[in-house]
Amino acid sequence: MSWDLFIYFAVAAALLWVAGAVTAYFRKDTAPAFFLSLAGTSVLLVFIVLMWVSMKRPPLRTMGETRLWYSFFLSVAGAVIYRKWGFDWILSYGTMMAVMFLCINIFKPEIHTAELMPALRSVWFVPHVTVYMFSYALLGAAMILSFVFAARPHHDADLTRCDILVRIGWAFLSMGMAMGALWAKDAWGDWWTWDPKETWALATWLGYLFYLHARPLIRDRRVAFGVLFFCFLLLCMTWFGVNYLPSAQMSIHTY
Amino acid sequence: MISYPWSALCLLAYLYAIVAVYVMSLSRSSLKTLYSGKTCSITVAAATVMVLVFGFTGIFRGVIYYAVMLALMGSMGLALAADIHHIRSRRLAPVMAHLGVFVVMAAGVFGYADKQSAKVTAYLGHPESVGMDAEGRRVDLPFMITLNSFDIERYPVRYSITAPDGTVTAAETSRDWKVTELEKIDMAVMKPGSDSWEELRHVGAEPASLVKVEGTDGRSITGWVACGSFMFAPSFLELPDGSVLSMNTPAPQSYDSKVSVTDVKGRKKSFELSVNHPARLGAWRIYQAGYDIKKGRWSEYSVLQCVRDPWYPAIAAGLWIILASAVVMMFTAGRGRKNEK
Repeated sequence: MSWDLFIYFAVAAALLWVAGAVTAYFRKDTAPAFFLSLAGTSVLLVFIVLMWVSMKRPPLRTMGETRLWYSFFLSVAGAVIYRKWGFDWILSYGTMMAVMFLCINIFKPEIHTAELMPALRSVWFVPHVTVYMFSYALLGAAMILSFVFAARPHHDADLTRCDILVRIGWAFLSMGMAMGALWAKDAWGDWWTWDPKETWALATWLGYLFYLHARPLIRDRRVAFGVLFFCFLLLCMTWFGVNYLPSAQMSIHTY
Repeated sequence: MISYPWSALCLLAYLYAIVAVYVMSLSRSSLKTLYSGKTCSITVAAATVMVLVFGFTGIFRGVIYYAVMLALMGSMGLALAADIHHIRSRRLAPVMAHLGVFVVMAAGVFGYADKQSAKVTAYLGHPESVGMDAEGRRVDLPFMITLNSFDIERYPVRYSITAPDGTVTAAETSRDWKVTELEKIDMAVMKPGSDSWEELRHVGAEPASLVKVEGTDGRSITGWVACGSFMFAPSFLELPDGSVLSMNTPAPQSYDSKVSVTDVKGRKKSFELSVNHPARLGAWRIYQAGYDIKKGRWSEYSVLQCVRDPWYPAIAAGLWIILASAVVMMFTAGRGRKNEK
């Protein structure tokens, strides 16, 4: 398995996701669209597993590899939200974002073959990165949800569904950060080093923590969207934006 | 900076103050604003802004840092006291999250001065009991470390092709050239006057390969490539189109040091250290931090980071509580709020 074959898997996954998204608008029964979306996700999962086997390491090392997981988890989150709450539009938005990240991987791969450096050979490596990617996907879905709720008239109860996603997403952010601290202590002897990536991850965690604390005080859906949009910008900064800052040149997290 | 036992006493006084203020707030409602939802939101917002400023400027520590930390810890400590007081009406996940974060922050802030860290450069067979801290000051360790052996496990060798325009591609992904290894030597040296590599276990020996490179247009070339070392110059192979084939120095997969540690009472213990697997000696932990990168597999020393962190159990406990709270939150996030007091 090599990245040369990625385009075929990506196109197959995208077609199935689009089919699922379109079906969601025309069928009241959620099952067909749900399973079509999951079929697309399974195609991506097969690619991830084959890459894992062929590279003899988890594909979580490079920016391109983390984007694979983001698309994967985002499509899972979209399908589960659609199945649970029946929002017919969530699959379209989820598909758009997931396909966008697959396209970035096709046009700007950043998939350079990279061996795992000794510090990454840890039991914390896989859970730390996958938990973060899953939380990013959930918080991305929460941002989409809040955008739609802010743009269209909805029942206030809908925003509480958004809050549920933020709560779960924040729980996963917390797990990622706690695992990172335990790992850092094992690897370098410090829980926290104020590395640029760590600093931005803390800002993101605090941003969503602010949303969770301030949410009972926020009455306007547009304000809620504004806060979540800002937090999502922080998240993007943590994930890839930080790599473009001059301070990141000394970072131990640049990949 | 205050250190043990004053740090522990200060923490106890701080906890006492939190409890006292909370008890007073039960009869004076104005004090409840110290840990109201609005106050907690403001302190978290202040912390977010402060960390964002750190993110852009890279500057941290100072009066603002301590003021914000104190405000955040204070409102969180009071909220935690209220959580514990009204535990039956509280949801478990936020209580656990408050507890975990408070423990981590309190132990981190009050235990900051108790942490000692020293980098030790241990040469093979030479006992060493002195290290350097981050500011380059001498640190006398309460034990002596002797490096008995140092080993590096490395990934297989890989080749790169540099095109005439300077573009570098990994040989295995090249569409124009196929590289076949005809002979591969792990420990190779080039003797003076020779133009080929031969096997010899000698200081500075590094991998070398005799390769055949075939182009899609039918052209081919055979020759030696070697990554070279601090003793031997590398060998490159010029391809018919002007590109150059080179061998990358194998990247380290893991490296470990076998050390003996003798404490002040003369007790001797042996450890095998590697990255992510420190050795523990009381409140001290010894980490594999580095080696002589220039000499690579022939490094004569190992860099060890010795860290004394007596607050380790408290911070680790706090982090595990955060992990557990996140798991609980995952399963209870969909439930409505309890009627909280």
